[in-house]
Amino acid sequence: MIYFQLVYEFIKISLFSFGGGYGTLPFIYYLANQYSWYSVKEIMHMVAIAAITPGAFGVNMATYTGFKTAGVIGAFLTTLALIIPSMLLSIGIYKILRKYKDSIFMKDFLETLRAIASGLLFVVVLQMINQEIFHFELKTMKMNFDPKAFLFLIISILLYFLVKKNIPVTMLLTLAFGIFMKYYGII
Amino acid sequence: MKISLAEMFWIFFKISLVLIGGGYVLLPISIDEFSKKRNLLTQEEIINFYALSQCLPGVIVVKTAVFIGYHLRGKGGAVIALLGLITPPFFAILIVANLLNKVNPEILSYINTITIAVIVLVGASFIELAGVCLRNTFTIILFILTILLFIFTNLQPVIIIFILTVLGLFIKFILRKIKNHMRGKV
Repeated sequence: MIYFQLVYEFIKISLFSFGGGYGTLPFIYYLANQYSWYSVKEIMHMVAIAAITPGAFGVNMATYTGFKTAGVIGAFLTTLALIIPSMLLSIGIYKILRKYKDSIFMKDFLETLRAIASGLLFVVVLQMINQEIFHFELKTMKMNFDPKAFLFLIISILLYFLVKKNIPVTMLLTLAFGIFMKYYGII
Repeated sequence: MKISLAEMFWIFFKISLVLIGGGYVLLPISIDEFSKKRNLLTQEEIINFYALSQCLPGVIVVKTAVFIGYHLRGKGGAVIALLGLITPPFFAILIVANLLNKVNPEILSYINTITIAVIVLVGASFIELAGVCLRNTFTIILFILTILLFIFTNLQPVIIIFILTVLGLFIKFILRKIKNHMRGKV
């Protein structure tokens, strides 16, 4: 019975959550209130684990929720329930796009969409830099600049160019450097 | 150029491994693997897939993987891409969930320092994206509007994308009308 509920809930999340992996969070909170699978307090813990383990955040969150609620089989079912509806939907959309790919309307549509996507990505960068370094609040207009984090960012940028823009190596080196600095209490 | 299903699985397996702290590194890493290293897709195609994924419900990484997999190898490609994508986290979660019962949760704050690397990689990917996507006044205006709406309103991302897409298409439509009209006169 719990398997059925899990699958049903995660199909719903797959079809109604917007804004990527973090968009699934409101649903995860809803589930905590609806069923007593886990407490609201445990969610922060789950979020941290989903964020630091490899893989897409939303998928990790589903896998972990399933595991916590109903073991390995639960993890398997929630993962599939989250991705299969998305897959069918994407294939459908892809076919429509193919069919009209030469129309002017479709070209305009994609050009518009790409410009918006750049804007969204820029906002993500701004938000992350602000959250880690500047701590600026729009409401109070107060800033709390963190020079150590800023220095860490500069070092990470240098590392990125030093390893010729290799993404996994940049992540590993930055992580190693961060753990080192944290261990010695520098950051 | 064709890609084998085994290679498809392997690429998405690798992509999944570096997705830490959210799916933000997806764009640079897919451009790296599918465009720069293998020349299977153009940067623009990958960005199209990524942008489309942002407008549909569900996890963005999943939808982008399906678009790429389906585009290159049909239904089998889409399924294999997803399998590659979910395999690493599936085992990682099982292992981490078991380990965490035994170790100090303090360790999480150490691993969180990776956020800085994520900023660098997403920043670099934005710079490349801007080079491909923001080539004329029309796209730059839309870009600025997106940022303004995001920062100064509380609208949900989907709503912002929807409003700006409609606006963008409307402006394009008007511009074409004017262009045709001018041509008609000459």
